[in-house]
Amino acid sequence: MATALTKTELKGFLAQHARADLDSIKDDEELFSSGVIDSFAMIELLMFLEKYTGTRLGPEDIDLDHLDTVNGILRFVELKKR
Amino acid sequence: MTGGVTDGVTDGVTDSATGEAPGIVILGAPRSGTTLLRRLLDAHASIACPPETFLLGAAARFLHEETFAHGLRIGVLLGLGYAGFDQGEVLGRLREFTFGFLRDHARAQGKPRWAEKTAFNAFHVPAIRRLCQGHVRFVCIHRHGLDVALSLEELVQKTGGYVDELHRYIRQYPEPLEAFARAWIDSAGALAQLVEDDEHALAIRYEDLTRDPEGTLRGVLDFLGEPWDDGLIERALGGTGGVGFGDWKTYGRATIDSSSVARWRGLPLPVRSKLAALCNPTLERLGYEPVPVIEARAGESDEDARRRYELGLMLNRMKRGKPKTKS
Repeated sequence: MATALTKTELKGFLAQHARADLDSIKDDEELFSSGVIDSFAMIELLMFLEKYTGTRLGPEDIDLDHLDTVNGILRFVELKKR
Repeated sequence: MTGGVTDGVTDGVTDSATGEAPGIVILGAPRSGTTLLRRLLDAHASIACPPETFLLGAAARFLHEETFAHGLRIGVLLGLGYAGFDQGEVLGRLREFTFGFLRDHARAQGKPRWAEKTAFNAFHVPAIRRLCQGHVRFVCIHRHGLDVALSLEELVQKTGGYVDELHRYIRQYPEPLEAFARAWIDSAGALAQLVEDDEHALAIRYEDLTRDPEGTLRGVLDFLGEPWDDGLIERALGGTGGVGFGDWKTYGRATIDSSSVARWRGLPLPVRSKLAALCNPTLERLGYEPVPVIEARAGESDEDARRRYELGLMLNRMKRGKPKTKS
């Protein structure tokens, strides 16, 4: 996919799946560890990221260091697109 | 409220059998706040509402009819009709038998007016209407259908089984939340129809009762023709309301709050969307906002479904290595 994933697009996707109001969550706040998004939502996010980056994620990718904050996810997407 | 059915027996203000204020029948899908409402009304100086008696559900089963042998209807009213008993007379005897217990209970409490609430009555609304309509005032309480489905799931997990009224839905629908949502659709729909047809039926919402208990209760008492009773809410929450059948959770609460409202927002999106598609017509009929239906998996291939499963396994592996995760 040629275009970059924007923060707005990512937050829009997460808002559909989150248990809490994402407007009150800062971009560096934990999403999964805090329970704002649950396992079901995380799987939806992984499916979304695979389609967005055109890559197949492996066990090494599925790590909270990459996936637990909005900013972390955006950095991870940029990394996978290189 | 629209319509009105009085069938000439009572004007809805007095009970023709006693000359007293008519009885009150509280109806609501199970897990809709019916026990809370029962406790509140029972705390009123003029109203006695015992814990669940199952009287009206039993009376409904007494009136059960079914189609047999090439369309022949069979049941008590029809059978006794062949023996020369008019249906009105049979219903009157059953009504007197049923109401008599409630009337006696109210008298024993020193109160002039009875009320009855049994949560599973919501699955017997047509028969209860046949027995009671024109002789009582109905107070129906609605709650958001997705919250009801969630709460019913919690109930059966804790109790470890299904009452008969729910078991028939479980037998038909293998996904419990869908089964409970469909049970809500049927019972809430029957109650909505009752309120639309009968001017002596009032509908309130659990969400309103928990957000504004006094304002909502004042509306109920006004409908019932009873004065506001200072201290009613405090008395209701302070007492046990008598030991008996009913929701156990409400007894653990010293205040009325909205903590159980909109719990459905925590459901996974695919589940929420599936239930929303089922429940939205009834939600809108009851005045609730429809829940957005997001077809997150529309057009998903078998490969996508397998990939979702694989990612779930990898996610579990990640959680095993990261004990701080909550879900």
